[in-house]
Parts: sequence; C-alpha cells; structure tokens
Amino acid sequence: MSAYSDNMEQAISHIKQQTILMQRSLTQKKLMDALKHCSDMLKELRNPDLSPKLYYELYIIIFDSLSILSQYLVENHPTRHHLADLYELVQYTGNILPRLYLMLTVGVSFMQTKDCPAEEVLKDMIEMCRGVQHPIRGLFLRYYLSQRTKQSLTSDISLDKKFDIQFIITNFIEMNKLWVRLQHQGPLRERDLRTKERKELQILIGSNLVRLSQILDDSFALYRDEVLPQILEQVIQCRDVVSQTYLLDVICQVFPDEFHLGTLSQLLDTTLKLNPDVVINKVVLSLIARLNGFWDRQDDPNAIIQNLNHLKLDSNTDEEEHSADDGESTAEKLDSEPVSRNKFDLFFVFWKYLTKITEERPDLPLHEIIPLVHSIMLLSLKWYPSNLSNVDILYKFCWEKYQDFGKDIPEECEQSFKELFIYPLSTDNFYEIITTCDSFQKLLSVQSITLQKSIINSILDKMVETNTKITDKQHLDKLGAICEPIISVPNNKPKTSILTVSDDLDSELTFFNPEQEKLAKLVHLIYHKNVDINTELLLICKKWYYNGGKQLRFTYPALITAFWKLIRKLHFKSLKRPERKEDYNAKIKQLFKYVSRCNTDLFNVCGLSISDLIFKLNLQTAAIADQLTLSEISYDFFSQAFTIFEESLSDSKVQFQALVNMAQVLQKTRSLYNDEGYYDTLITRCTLHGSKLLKKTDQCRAVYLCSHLWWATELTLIGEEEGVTKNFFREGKRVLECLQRSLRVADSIMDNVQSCQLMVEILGSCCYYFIHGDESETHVGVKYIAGLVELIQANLKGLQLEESGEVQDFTAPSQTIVIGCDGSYICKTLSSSTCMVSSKIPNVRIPDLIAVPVSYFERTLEYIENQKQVDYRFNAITT
Amino acid sequence: MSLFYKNPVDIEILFDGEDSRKHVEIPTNSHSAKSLFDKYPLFEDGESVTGLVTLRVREGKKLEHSGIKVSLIGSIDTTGYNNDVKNKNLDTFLTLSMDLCPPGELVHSVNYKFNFKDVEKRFESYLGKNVSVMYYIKVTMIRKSADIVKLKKFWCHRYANESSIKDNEGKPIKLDIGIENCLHIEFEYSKAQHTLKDVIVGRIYFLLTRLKVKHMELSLIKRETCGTEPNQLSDTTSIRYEIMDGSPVKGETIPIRLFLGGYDLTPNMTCNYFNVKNYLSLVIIDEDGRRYFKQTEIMLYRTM
Amino acid sequence: MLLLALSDAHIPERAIDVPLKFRKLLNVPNKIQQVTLLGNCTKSASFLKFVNTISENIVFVRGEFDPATVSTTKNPAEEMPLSTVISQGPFRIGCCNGYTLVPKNDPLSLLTLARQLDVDILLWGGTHNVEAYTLEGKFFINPGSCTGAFSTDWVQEDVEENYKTSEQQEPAEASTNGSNQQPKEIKEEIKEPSNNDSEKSGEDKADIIEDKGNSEEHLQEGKEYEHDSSDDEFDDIDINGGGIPSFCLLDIQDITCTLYIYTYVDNEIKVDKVVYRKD
Repeated sequence: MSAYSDNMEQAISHIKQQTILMQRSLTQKKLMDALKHCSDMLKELRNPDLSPKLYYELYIIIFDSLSILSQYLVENHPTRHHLADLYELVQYTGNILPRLYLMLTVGVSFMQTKDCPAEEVLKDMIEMCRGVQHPIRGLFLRYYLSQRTKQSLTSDISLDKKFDIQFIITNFIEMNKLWVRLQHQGPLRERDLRTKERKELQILIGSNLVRLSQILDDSFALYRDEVLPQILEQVIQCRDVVSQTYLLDVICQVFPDEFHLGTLSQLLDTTLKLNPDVVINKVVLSLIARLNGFWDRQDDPNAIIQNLNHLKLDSNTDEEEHSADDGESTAEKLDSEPVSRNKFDLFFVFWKYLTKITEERPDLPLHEIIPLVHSIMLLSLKWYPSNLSNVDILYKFCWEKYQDFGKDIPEECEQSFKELFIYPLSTDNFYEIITTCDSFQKLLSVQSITLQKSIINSILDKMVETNTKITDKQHLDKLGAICEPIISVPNNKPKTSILTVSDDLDSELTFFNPEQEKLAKLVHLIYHKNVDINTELLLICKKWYYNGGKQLRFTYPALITAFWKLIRKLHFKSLKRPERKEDYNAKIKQLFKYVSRCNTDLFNVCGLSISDLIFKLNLQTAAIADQLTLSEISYDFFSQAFTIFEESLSDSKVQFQALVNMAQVLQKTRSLYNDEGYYDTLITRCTLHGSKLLKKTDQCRAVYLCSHLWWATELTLIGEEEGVTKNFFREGKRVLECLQRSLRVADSIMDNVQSCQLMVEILGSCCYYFIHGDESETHVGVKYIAGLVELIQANLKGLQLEESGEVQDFTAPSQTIVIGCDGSYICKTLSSSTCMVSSKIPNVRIPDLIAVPVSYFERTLEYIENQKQVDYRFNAITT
Repeated sequence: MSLFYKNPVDIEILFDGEDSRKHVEIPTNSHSAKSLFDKYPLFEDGESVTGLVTLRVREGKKLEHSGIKVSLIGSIDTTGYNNDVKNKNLDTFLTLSMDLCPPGELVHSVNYKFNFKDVEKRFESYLGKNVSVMYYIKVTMIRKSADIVKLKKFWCHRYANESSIKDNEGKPIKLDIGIENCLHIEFEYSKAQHTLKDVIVGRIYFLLTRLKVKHMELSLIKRETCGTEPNQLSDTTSIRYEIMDGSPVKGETIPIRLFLGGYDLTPNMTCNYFNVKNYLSLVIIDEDGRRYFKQTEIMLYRTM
Repeated sequence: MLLLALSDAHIPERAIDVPLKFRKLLNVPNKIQQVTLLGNCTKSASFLKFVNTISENIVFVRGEFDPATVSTTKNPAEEMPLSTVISQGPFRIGCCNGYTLVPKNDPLSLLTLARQLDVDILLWGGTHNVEAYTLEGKFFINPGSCTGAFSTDWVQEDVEENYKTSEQQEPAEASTNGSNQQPKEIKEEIKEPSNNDSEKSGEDKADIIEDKGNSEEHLQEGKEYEHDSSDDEFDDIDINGGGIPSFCLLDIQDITCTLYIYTYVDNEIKVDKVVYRKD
C-alpha cells in the first residue's frame, strides 16, 4: 500500500499531476489508466496527520478532479463501458478510502443514467461508507456522498421524496456520530484543539440539514412526523455539547418559521434532554430570535396571532387527518401540540416550558435561567407587546428563583440580570413595564447596589432621552421605589463613576453627582395638564428627595424650578380668566409656600455650605412673586434673603456679589412701591449692607451700584418706555447721595491705584445718569462730572508723581491689565489668549498697574468726547 | 548442449485448434524468463487431447531412428523444497503413449497426428512454491545415441461438481472472538464455500473495542502443504483488502464485500503428496502497529 | 478661529439637556478652538463633559448659581471670576454673566463694563434671550440659554394659549433677520431676534406632550378636578420666559468677526449671521 505525501505542497502537486495524467488517459479513452491515477491521488486523503483545514483543501481539489472523471463516465455510458461493471471493478481497489471515493463517483454517475436501480445503489453506497470509521476521513467521505448525490438527485432522477429524505437523514446521523467521535481523538490535553477543529468542520454536518430543508420545501407533516423526530433523537443521543448546541441552532436557522411554530414543544422538550453542559438558553434564544424575525417579516403580524388562535379552535377536529395530507398549506397543521391545544399563545408555550425546565433540571444554575427568561421576554415583547402581565410574570418568576437560591446572587448572574433589566428599556413600552410590573422593582431591589444603580441610571437616561412624561401618581410612586437606592444614600460617596469625565475635569466631579443630576432631571419630566395634580406629583417627588439628606442640594433646585413654572402658568391662567383670579391666587400662594418649604429644608439639611444658593433661590422667588404683584410674598422672600445674607454669608467676596445681585433684582421690582414702604425698606437695607461690606473697594462699588435702586429703568416687556412712561420710581437726590458716598469711600482708600480706578468707575456711573436725564431729575450735572474729572486728573497726576522714577514708561501704556467689575485684576498672560483673573495685586511692574486707571480714565474721556457729537449736553463737560 | 551440436531435427507440437483455444497465463517461476507470464493452452478433465506433430529434417540429411512415439504425461513435482535437482522427486501419475512411426529413416519432413481420447486428468495444473502439477505432451525420437525429445506443456482446469458442493453452501460462517476487556467482535461470512468468481459478503460487529484501531484488512491466504511429517507449509497471501479505516466504536457494524473474480486464485486441492487450502484472515492493526488476526478456512472451487 | 459662546444651561435644575440637534451640530472635535461658558453652566457633569469634547480651552465666568470655585487642571479650587477677557487677534473679548450688573441687561451698563474691561466685544448672559448689537463701535453678544432654561426675569404676559395657532406671528421671523443686519452705530438697543418668535416656537412639542400625557388622564381625573374648568395649556417656552435654546459662534478672521447665531425653533436649527469689523 503506497503512502501519501509528507507535506501539503507535495500532496497538492501530486494530486494535480495525477489529475493531468488522468485527463490525458481519458482523452485517450484509457479508462483503466485513468482510474489508476484517480486511485493514486486519492491516497493523499489517507494522510492522518492533516488538520481539518488542510484536509479540506485537498478534498476540494480532489472533488474537482473526480468531477472530470464522473463526467466522462456518464458521457461514455454505455458505449465504452457499462457503469454497473465499473461499479464492481473499482471495488477491487485495495485501500478502502480510494475504493469508496471511486465507488461513490461511479455509483453516482451510474445513477444519472436511465437504467440504474438508483435506490439500490444509494443504499449500497451509504452502507459501504461504514467502512471508514476515522472521524475526519469518514466525515469528508460522507460529505462527498452528500455533495455528489445533491447534484444528481435533485435534477434528473425523481426519487421518492421520503427515500431521499431518509437517505440524507441516515447520512446525517452517521456524520454526526463521526463528528462527535472526533472529540475523543488524540491525547486528552488536546481537547480544546479538538473542539476547535470540530467547529471548523461543523458546516459539513449542518449542510445535511440545509439539504433536508430544501427537499422538504413545504411538506410540514413530513418534517414533523419523520424528519424532526429522527434528527432530534440523534441530537439527544449523541450527548455531545458541541453537537447539540450547533445542531439545535442549525435546526432553528434552516427550517421555515412556520415549521418551528408547529413543532415548538418538540423542540423545547428536546432541550430538556440535552447534555447538562449545553447552555440551553442559547438554543432557546436562537429559536426565539427566529420567531421574532418571523414576526418582523410579516406584513401583518397580528394576522399571525389571529391565525394561531384560529388554529387552536381547529386543532381538536382535524387531529387525525393531518398525517394523511402532506402537501397542503402548513398553516393548517401548526396545531397538534398538546401544550398549545388549550391556548395557542406562544408566550404560554414558553412559559410552560420554563416552569417545566426548572422542575426537571433543578441543577440549572441561576445564571442560565436568567438568560432563558430574558429570551422569553424578548418573545413576549415582540409578539405580545401590550401584554405586560407576561413581563411581570417573568420578573416574578426570577424573583422567586432568586429566593430559592438564597441571598447571594452569584457574580456570574450579574450580567444576565443586567440584560434582563436593560432590555425592556429599549422597547417602546419600557415606561409601562417599569411602572406597572410590580416584580420589576421587587427583583431589582435585591440586586447588588452597583447593579441597581447602573439600571436606575439607564432608566433615568432613557426617560430623559425619550422625554417620557410622568403623569400618574402610581407611576411616580413606582419610580420612586425603583430609584430608592440612589435617593437615600446617607453613607454613600457622591462620586460614583458612572460618568467618566476626562482627567482635567475629573476632580471637578466633587461638585457633581451624575446620579443626582439625573434624579433632578426627573422632576422636569413630571407633568400634568392639571396644575393640582401636577403639584401633587411634585410633592410626592419632594417627599422622596427629602430622604436624600444632603443630596437635596442637587435635587431641590429642580423642584423649586418646577414650582416656579406652575406659579407662572397659573399666573397666565389668571390673566386669561380674571374671573377665576382668586382661585388661582390661592393656589399660587400655596405654591410659594412649597417653595419656601423647600428653601427651609435646604437650609436645615445642607446648612451653611449652600447658603449662597438658598440666598439666590429666595431672591429669584421674590422676583417672581413681585412680577405677580404679590408684594407681600415678595417682601417675605426678600427678607428671607436678607436673613441669610446677614447670618450665613461670611466670605467677603460672596457677600459682595450676593449683595449686588440683590440690588439687581430689587432694581427690577415693581410691586413693592406700596403703602407699607416695602421697597424703601428693602433698598435702604440693601444699600446699608453695601456700605457695611468689609472691604472698602466692595463698599464703594456696592454703594454706587445701589444708586440704581433709586433710578428705575424701563421694562419693555411690561410696556414701559423711557420718555413715555411717567411714573418711574426715581429719586435723583438719593442717587447723588449714593454716588457721593461712594466717592468718599473711594477717596479714602489707601491704594491709589484702586482709589483712582474706583473714581473712574464712579465717573462712568455719572455719565450713565447724565445720559439718562436732565440734571434737574438726576442731580448729576455737568458741574459734578467736571469736578469728578478734575479730581481724577489730580489724583492720577499724584499717582504718576509717586512713581516719578519711571515716568518715561507711561508713554507706552500697558494694555495687559484691566480691573474687572468686582475689582479683580484681569491680566493678559503672554502664553495664551486668555487672562489670569485674581483679586490679589498681580506681580507686575508698578507702572503697569498705574496704567490701569490711567488708560481707563482716557477711555472714559474719549467716550465723553464721542458723546458730544450725539448729545449736545456733553459739550458742557470740559475734559 | 545444443549450442555446438544442433539437433538434426525440429519437432513441433501443435494442438488442434490451438490458436483459438483458451489459454491461461501463469507467472513464470524461473528467473531467466523473458516475460512474467507463460501462456499455456487450457484443457479440461476428460477432454481429448489431440494434435499434430511435425518433424522437420534438414535439407539433404537423412536421419535414422528406432521409432517415434508421443506421450501425454501428468506429474507432480515436489522438488522445489529441497532444490536438489539430482534428487528429483517426480511422481508421474499419468502416462499415455502411442507410437507415431516405426523405426526407419527420416528423409523429408513429416506430420503425424496424435489423439489421446477422453483423458482423465486427476489433478488441476498447479504451480506452487514447493509443489507443481504439470501436464505435457512428450514426443520422443528414439535413437541409438541420445533420444531426441520435445515437450509441450498444457494446463488443466478441473471443474467442481456443483451438486456435491451445494449441500454446504448455504451455511454462513459465524464467529465470536475477542481479547478479554479489549476487543470483542462478531463476524459473519455469508458462506464457507465460494466459487472463484464469487463475492465474499459479510460484516463485522464490534461489541467491545478498546483498541485504537488503525485499520482492518481481509486477506485471502493460500496454504500449500506437501510432503510427509514435518509438513512442508507455504503460505501465500493472494488478496489483501482493506475493509475498514479508523477505529470504530461499540455497536458499529462494518460491511465486507470482496469480489474474488478479479484475482488469480487457486481452488482447494488435495492429493497424497500435497494439498492447497484457502483461508480468510481478518486482521486488525492498531495504532501501535500490532496485528490481531483471525483465520477462517474457506473452500474455493472452480466452476464453469 | 472659532469661539463658541454658551450660557445659562441650568442643567439639571432648570433644564434636562441641550437640544439633541445642538449636540450633534457641535459634535465636531478640534474644530472650535475656544469655548466660553457665560455662567450657570457648571452643575452638570455630562454637560461639561460634552463641552470638553468640543474644545479643551474653556473660559468660565460665574453666574449666580455657579459655585464660587471651579476645579481645573492647574488649580483644584480656582476662583470663578465674575468677568474676564480673551485676546484674539486684534480683538479683546470680554466675558461676564452680568448678574452683578445693575441695572440688569442695560445697554449703557454693558457699555460701561466694556469700557472698563477695554474690550471690543462683550459676551454676556443671564437673560436667557439671545441678542447681538453694536453700540459705540463695540459688539455686544448674548448667546441666550443653550437649553432654553426657565428665566425668573419679567416675561411677556399677554401670551396666547397654546391651542390657538399663532400663524399671525409668521412675519416676525422676517424681521428677525432684518434686525440683525441693522447698521452699526445705531445707538438704541436692537431687539433680540428671538423674542417675537417665542409664542410660536416649540408649539409642536407641547402638542405632543399633551397627546402623550393627558388624553387618558384627563378622562379619568376630569371629574375629580371638575371645578378647574380651564386646563388650557401654555407653551412651555412662554412659561420659561420666552427664551428659546440658542448659542453663538464667533468666527474671528483678522479684523473681522462673523457672528453666527444658532436658535432652536420648532425642532429645527436656525442660523443667523452678523458681521462685525474692528475699525
């Protein structure tokens, strides 16, 4: 027995060489020689050292060569030879593998002729193939058989369909056996390699099933009664993990969806009998993916469900018949499953299966059950998207399972659980699912905190993304229960890394809490057309947020905004329907109380750390109340703001900014000019606080800014117009008093640069008033401005003299420093386009500092010059 | 001997219708032969052997002789095993002679017909390792000096009497063999007696297999026994035929089908001096190259 | 050189997020060199992350709801300034939220501030209304709120109820474009382009909300709250104070600054262009 080549190159060249010789012999009609060459090249397939991949390469080449032979054999029959004789002749080949390849080639060629007892030959060939028991060689031989017969069977010869199918099944079963056996070849340590090799070969086995589905076409009864039972039996019997997994998947893939619908319980029952190591959920998942795909492909998916229900009614009557009638539409036979008889509900089928599998396989670990549940959920949400009780049942099931398994959820389940929770979020019904399925929350609440948070975050993201409005109390309660873990977290570090911000911003996260941010956004999703209900919803929300301890500072501002919006909405309503004004006003007042309550809570819980925030919230609420002419309420909130200012704001910078902000807000109020003198009280108090600020520079600025409190300006939005509206609140005398006071402070400041700067700022203010009105009103006249200009000029001269040593530098005044509106130094840095801002005197040459007020003064003078062209009154100011 | 001294006469033996007669090709056992095969005309048992002897004398020569005769001789040669030419162990079991011509002088070339009628040929022609069964026509010109002899071999096939064999034919061979805890197989050949054109059909059923089988072969072995004790045995493998590749698992059935017709086989033979028997040998070769085999005698016979 | 001005995001306390279309529009890394956040933009990590992907050069100024300090690469507690300046080519650009400006949003006050900071362009915020005008040769830009957040300022009160269509507002849009192209040196305030649109914009959105949230609810609960006969809806934008989502992009080339104003109206992005040249 001659040997095969040592390596692939030799083998390939040998085969090719023999092929050429064979072809030459054939052209010379020397069949015996040709056969000899064939037999010779076939020896290469005996090489036991080839990996499946290389073996396949050789196989392909040989397949082609044998095709040439086959063609010759058919063409020259029976003139030059009789294929029946050749069929015997080739069997003299001593080696079994070349013998069988030749035999199959001749046999199949023979079958293509008219006088061939095709069935006999087929039977004989498949029987003789048993001689090759080597897994790889056997697989390929049988694959050869199936490939060859595929070509010939379908076209010319009309074999009995049943015979044909049986033939393929037999071959399939043998191939599968060989495939399974491959696993046990070679040393134990190469197990993994074997598994890998097997997977490379799986298509050879799978191709049989593909063939079957082609031949079956729409013969459902044949499939259900003959084909599937045999295949499934083989699947069960082989007890091989790789094979079972693969084959069930292929079954799901290759046969029509309608078939699956009709044989669901057969398929599902099979999964109960598999090797325990097979991951059942994968199988079920691919089946469900198939069914879901079927659903998607339907023009009218609901018709399918109708159909299923219809079948349910019919099933009892035509039970007996369906085995007889083969070729009819499959739809009629999708029935006979015992499970489906009482109710053909797909979900029900799977649900029964789920309960069954957990009964029969108590060993099944949680992390395999959960994905199973997950896939059934996929099915339910696809086929019965509105039937959320299904979903609830599934969550409930998981919850019960979880309880069986005890307290600790194994880590490997985490991912499965996560998917189970995450999946519904991608559906249209996610909101209904999380708000109506009680077990969703129940199951979620037993998960690890990390997982819970991750899910909650996803839910919140999804809510925000889809802009899902929360309109129902129950829903809100449910959401609250779900979000509980991120609401009340007394000992939780606010920094959880759900969101990763790039490094340079990372430390800023101490100010942030992404979870709380999302929670706060939830408030904006609460909405009800009816203000009362909306209020109620917000109060529920407020109740949970209250449990968050110091986290209130993240969530309450949003809540307050929501109340503000309701207030404004009611205000609009009352403008529309003055007759209901009383009613609305009562509600508005109540809402202001809630806002006040929120502020108090914030103050009590979070304390001094956020007093600035509470101060601002009070101010803004006061502004809103004022806009609604609710002077009393507005006054209260302003008072509240003062209280906080006085008691809790300690940082001087914060104080200054807060106070000026208050002045800004007060300047825009309109409702406080009443008999009680609220406005007067408030602005006087404000100015007083301004004049008592710690730093003189702050005092000075605060006071000249407070001067505006006696000089109301137009609010175009409510129809005010400069020059038209008569009754602006304006007291020029007090304005001037403020400016003078401010100037005195400026003058008393030791730092000459700051002192001059402030004077120029006051000059700016003077110009403001000068433009705004006649001296008779504003009391800021030409004389005053001119005096101020003179004073500044004098002071600047003094300032320059102070630094006389470097006088010459003034010729090129520096542009690099200016002083900002709060007195901070804004220095241009050389390296970048942006500036350094600092309240401390920057480390620069003194002349550069002196240049700041000087150039500011110059700019102001230039402005005055320019104004002269527009406003003749300016001409009176000599500069 | 004829290099220096040429035979004064050419003797040619020609069977009647030799050209159209069936011939057999037998592998030559002499190494000096030019071709691998010798061709012999084939005769059956009981068939008459007729022919023509032609004697050619050289032009212008006269040849004196003491008579010419023709003989048909069948002999069994068991010399092969001791290779001693001098001790030629030749047993002639058949000698038929007839005179062609009385003593006299041969001047011209002459033809003589011969006819051995309905010759019983007790044995098949056979060419084995140690034994051969030969038939030939011998023409002898008796002379005062050395006789001039010419031989012509022919081949004989004997066909079995079908009716006598058919009695046993239906019985299949069934065997159940094994190595403890290692291998247990059942095998079955459809029958024990086969004609030379038959097909051996059977199957092997693996009940237990812990061997790592590499492959399995079926061989047909011809066993020639001759001489007295100790018997001179000679086995020749007539067929080697792989029937399985790879290692089967428990429960696997391997089919056997072996066409005999294409091979040159020897039917079973028995006589005083020697016998030829045929055995089917099932050989299992494991991955370490060890061979396990089981031989089963089968009967081969020649039919028309 | 592109400079992006965003202001008053108020995420999460007043708004959920920047409109998705804005996000998509701005999702062009390495295109924009400088981002300025003009206050009330620092409460949301996700928003800052988003901004950070636009450009790493970010300038902050403090709005009233911002913390006093912000953490940067250089300084974990860098004070947030009230105002700052960016130099770009021949331009000095001032940034300020303006919440300490009295009177608020007053052009003359802003002009004074611009003079004090010695800037050509002043970016400010706080009003949630996008506007841009030139005054005294200086360019004033308020990018509005990038989320269209609720504003506590005075609002237009004679708003239409939502279900009444406001087609008559259509011409207002035309005037928006016109107003932006008004010649420089017009001393008076140019009305912000968005203001007139406010009643109209976002109306569709509100409709959807109503459909989604209320149709069933109303039937159920209607009886209980029967006394409140007017469940009429107002446009969310009106409630918020009229500000629509908006931001500004400044393209500075040599002495020319081209301002692009992006507004989000009726779920679409609208762009207006204003050119300013330094004399």
